[in-house]
Amino acid sequence: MKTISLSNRLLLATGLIFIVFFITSIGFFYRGQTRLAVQEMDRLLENEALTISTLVNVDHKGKLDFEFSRQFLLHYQSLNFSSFFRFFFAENQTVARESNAAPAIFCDKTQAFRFERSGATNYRVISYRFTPSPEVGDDLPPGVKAPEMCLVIGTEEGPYVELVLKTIYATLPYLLAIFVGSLILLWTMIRTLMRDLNALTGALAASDFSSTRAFPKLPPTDTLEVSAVVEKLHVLHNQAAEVYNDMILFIARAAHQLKTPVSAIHSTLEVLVRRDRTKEELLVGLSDLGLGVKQMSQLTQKLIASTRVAFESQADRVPINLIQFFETLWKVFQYKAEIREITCSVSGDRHTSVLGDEYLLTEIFGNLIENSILYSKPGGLIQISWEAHGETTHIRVGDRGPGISHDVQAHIFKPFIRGDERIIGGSGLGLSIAKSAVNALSGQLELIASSDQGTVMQIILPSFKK
Amino acid sequence: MRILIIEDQNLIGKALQKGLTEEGYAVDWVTNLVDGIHLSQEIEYDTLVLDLMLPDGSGLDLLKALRENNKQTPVIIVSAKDTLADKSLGFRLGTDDYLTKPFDFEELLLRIGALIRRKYQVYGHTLVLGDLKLDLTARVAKSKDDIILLTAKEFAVLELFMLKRAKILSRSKIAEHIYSEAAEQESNVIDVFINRLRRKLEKAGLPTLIETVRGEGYTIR
Repeated sequence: MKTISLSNRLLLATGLIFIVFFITSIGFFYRGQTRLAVQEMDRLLENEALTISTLVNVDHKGKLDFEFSRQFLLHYQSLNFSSFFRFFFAENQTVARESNAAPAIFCDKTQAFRFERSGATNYRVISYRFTPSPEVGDDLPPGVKAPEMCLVIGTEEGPYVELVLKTIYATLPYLLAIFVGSLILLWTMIRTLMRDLNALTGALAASDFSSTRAFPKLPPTDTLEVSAVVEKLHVLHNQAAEVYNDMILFIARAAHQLKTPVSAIHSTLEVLVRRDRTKEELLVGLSDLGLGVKQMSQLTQKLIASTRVAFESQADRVPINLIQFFETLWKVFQYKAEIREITCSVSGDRHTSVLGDEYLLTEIFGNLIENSILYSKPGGLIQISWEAHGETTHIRVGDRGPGISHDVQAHIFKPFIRGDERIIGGSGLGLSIAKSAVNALSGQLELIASSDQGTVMQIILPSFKK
Repeated sequence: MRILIIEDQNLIGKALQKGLTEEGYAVDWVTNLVDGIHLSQEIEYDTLVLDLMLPDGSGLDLLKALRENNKQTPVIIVSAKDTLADKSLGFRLGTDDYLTKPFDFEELLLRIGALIRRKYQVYGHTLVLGDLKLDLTARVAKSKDDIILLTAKEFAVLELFMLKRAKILSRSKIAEHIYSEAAEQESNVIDVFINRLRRKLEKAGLPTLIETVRGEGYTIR
């Protein structure tokens, strides 16, 4: 049942009910009509006190099925009908013989069970084919063939409309029963079909998403749409849970990171004020406090940048010339680099520009260069190069640092992950900020090589074309 | 009393070393696990102040190594890890106390004091010998009710004598308890130190408290 959709099931159910209702109604209608016709005939025959034979059946087309009595057949030619029962022997559309006082109504075998009017009398015309049994045939007068016959029943009763109305009245209880039955059936089917949906709604209403991070246990379902909804809910929940967990983890780690400088400032200050201090001691203490405040300020800046890059995805994209950008950016790091005798080489087409945002690009390459300086050995070289590849430009930033260990490589872009814990000074946020900023520019950032000879990061950004 | 600080954060380590030294403790400070393990096995410290997240591993490894070698040195973990699970793991591995960062220095001092009293099986905070009373919490020495003005190191040595009463303390043992690894000592520095302490005690009316055991060291009976 899983492969039939809810809408198709409803359609199927409704169609089925209508077909059943239609067929049953028609069946009942004809059955009722036939029964009425037979009753009518019987009544008329009784009223006329004429025993032709036993009327066995009248089918829905009005064909009569008589078992004529042998006696009747012997005398049928000489019967003198004083009432409306008349037999016409029709051969080649001419009246072969008719009884006295017969109304001038001819039988048309193709039109069964119709009403005609002659004077003030309604006539029901019923055609039938009469084939006498061999022994009856033997009794027929010479020269008379077994005829095709028309039975014309004259009656003062109402015309066909009345018969139909009577039929409807007679069949109405059945039709009503069928209708109510169909409704109950439809209701049951819809209830069955909606069961999964209702169960899902109930389970969701009873779930408290705020109290648990686990997805609530939903009832098993075999409806395609409901299954799809449940599956999608699971996916959405997992995504939301992941984002939520990342957020909680980020906050916890950020708080944890802040504890270190806070702790340092706290301890330094407490020790400083425990005793009377000389001027020199005070200066040393204040300088230590300053270091603590600086650490905290750097970390806070990184935390703010982490949040800001997430909101810069709507930034206007402007063309940025790479050579000019890197020349300006390097000036920010030049002092730090020179202290450790680290140099930088920039190579690439002078005219290459990328589509980006100045702030985001500064976050991307600022963090990469900062890491390269932090992890490079004194005297090291940082290489920045780029190549335009049509719609995109590939930029590489490489250093000759110790590389990133294999275990850490998979998590390197997650917040608060450091390539080497022994390096003091990194916040562990740089690469995660760079990654978010690259994502905001619809670009890619990947680690393409890392060994004890160094690390190369590649950034792919949209090219600017004049 | 000799304390080892294992703390990789420069500012915190520096502040703790300065603060504890000023309280009369001999303080060694290392910034990584390897040095910490080495020193804690080599020297008998009265307390280890242990950070958990060290650049070359977890402080818990040091704790494990210490307890596996049957070292009973009191350990207080001072860490930013503040969950019950972290603390529970620390205590299971044999720490004696756990303080989360940021912490009050005063509280650290009190906790270290408590650990040392427990180590020397002193219940209560005052040591008494005749007229001499040492308040280990306030770190004050009294003769009857008069305060004896002692430096932090002098108090520490007196405290050591009182804690190891009737035992002979060698000069090196005394030096180990008041001077850190980094401090340079001259050969007769302990004798000079003990003489100064004796004079202060004499002034306070406690003339014959510290006895010299020829060729071995000093003792208080």
